[in-house]
Amino acid sequence: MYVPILRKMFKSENIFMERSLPSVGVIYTQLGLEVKPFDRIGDCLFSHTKINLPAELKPVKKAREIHHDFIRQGELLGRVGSQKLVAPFDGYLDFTSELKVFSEVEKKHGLLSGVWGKVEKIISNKGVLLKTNTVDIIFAQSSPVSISGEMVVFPNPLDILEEFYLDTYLKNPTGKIVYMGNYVKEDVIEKAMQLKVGGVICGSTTKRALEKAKSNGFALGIISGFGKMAVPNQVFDFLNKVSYRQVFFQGERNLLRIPVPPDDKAHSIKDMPLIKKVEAGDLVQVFQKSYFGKIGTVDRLTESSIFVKFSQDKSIGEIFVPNFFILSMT
Amino acid sequence: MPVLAAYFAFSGAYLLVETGDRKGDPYKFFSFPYRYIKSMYGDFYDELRFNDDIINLVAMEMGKKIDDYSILVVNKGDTPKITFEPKLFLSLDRIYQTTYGVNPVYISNRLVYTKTEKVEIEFNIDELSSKEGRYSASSIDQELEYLNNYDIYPQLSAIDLPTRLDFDRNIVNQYRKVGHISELWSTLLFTGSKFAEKVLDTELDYVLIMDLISKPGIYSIYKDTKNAFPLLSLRNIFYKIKEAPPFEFYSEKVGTLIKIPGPLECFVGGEGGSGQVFDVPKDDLFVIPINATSVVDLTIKSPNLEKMVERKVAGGKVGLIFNSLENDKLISGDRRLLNSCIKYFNPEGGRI
Repeated sequence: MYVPILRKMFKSENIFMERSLPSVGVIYTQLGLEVKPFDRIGDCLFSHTKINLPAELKPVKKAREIHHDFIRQGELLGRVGSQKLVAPFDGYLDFTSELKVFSEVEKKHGLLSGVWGKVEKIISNKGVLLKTNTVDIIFAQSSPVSISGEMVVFPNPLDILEEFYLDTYLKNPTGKIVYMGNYVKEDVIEKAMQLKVGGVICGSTTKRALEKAKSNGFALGIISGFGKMAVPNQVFDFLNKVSYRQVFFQGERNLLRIPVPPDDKAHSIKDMPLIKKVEAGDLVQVFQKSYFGKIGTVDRLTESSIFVKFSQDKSIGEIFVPNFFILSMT
Repeated sequence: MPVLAAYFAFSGAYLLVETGDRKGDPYKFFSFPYRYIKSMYGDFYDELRFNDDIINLVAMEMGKKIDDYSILVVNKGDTPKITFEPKLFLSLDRIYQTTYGVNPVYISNRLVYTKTEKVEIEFNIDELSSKEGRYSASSIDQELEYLNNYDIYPQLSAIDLPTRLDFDRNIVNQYRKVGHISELWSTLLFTGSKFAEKVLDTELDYVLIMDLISKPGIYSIYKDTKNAFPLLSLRNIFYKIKEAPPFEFYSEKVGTLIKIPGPLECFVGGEGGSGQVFDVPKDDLFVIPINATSVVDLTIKSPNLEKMVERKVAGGKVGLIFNSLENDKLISGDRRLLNSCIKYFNPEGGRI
């Protein structure tokens, strides 16, 4: 009996990664130079926060005259009816008759390499192209968003994640890419969006959560599928090891790319057959009701089914072809 | 050089290999009920390589290499879905158009495909999961999410009876809106992943077949559990054999369906003048278990027939199936009929 292998994790060698500044600035690395993830390779001045103000806002008198005004944190921006609106940070108020925007004052934004690699090309004052190695995690489904950010891994992958965990575990969530566990509820994804988390990765969630993420341009990567489905331990263990590393969410390609050092030997490259004869002892993920989403090991085989031992509850179930896939991480 | 023929269908791959065995079976069939899924493999492993690997594994299983065979390929679309040039490629359309004597009806959860129609089946999740009373409020979300996974893993096969019935009813309802199996097609061969799945409750296959046929007529019915028909047809074309492929040796003869709405008066005559007279009431279903090698004389009278029908018919794994349901009525939509059918169609016995 031959069955496809679901390889959730594999190594990609000599791939190109672009690192760019959000606005024109200075690049101070050199062509051919070897870089490490925390090497600073450029910087620019950049306004990190912009707020679209209500159309009915009546700006302060000075701003009305010049259509552009510096306003300090706590000072009056204007009024909406009888309500006063004050500046949440130091910034500039710009407005036309239709659009009123308050932008935080520009600050220095440093660009880190984020990867172990070699500078292959420099895009003048804007960014660099680096050649690097990554371990890629494949998503079963994801929203088509591309971002990079610091990886944060929540500690217990088996817990169903409730909303309050976000506040407990995530002190500074902005821009982080958070692995949340085997199953994440829809409201947690919504809360993550509100907290401006960069992206969420999970074993499974609902289809509605994915649709919401897509419509909000929010990065959501689902490793196993919809409903309550487990993530292979090897994937969780690996993610746990790379906490706080810069990672790259490439939703259009269903990938999470995690840079690895050039001497990483723990993962094999992708170029190998992905169909295999089922054997006792193989790790499989099951897609048949009663055992849906569970991961177990093949105990014995019949002509068109396998018996799978599930370690979590010590049960054994008969699973018919094609309701399972072999899992392989090596 | 022996032939290795591969058929890449909607929900899986099916292969035929010539064994060269003159005394035993000249062909060996392989089923691989999985298909390439882009979201699973991304851009590092494409559909063509996936299909190459399937052909390679089958050759290996036969103790040979791919170069030892003349590779023939059939799939949907105009180009073969492999990386190398096969000895012969034909689209499924072309295979269907070149067949005669038998009328293939391909069925998967997503497609019904006949000589004249190609009906894409939409997956209406809300409709499939909105069966009142079947699921508790707490389990309905779980059910919904289970069904949503068919978007990611389309080859999945439900083995529980309620879900299978839901899927089959979905196929029947959508197919009947736009297509119908013609009463002129007297020999029907049901093929496709729906019948190649080795799952429980195979009697539901017969319920699906009965529900799909809405037009009155007398039909000889076969079930292609190996998806052998397109492969045998492809082989025949390769060797320029003009006869129809020997599908009856490689498929299951289900029996003969007598589909006439309204009350029926029937006579089934056996050898030596013996026979049996019986009535089938309106909106009912009745089965006489007769095996595939027995041919009997059948006479039918009905107020809905202009004249009496007399025909020689053969049985099969199920036998002679008399269906007097109105054309718009489904077996799967009537609990009493469904229960009777499951008993009638159960190959392990339990017939009334």
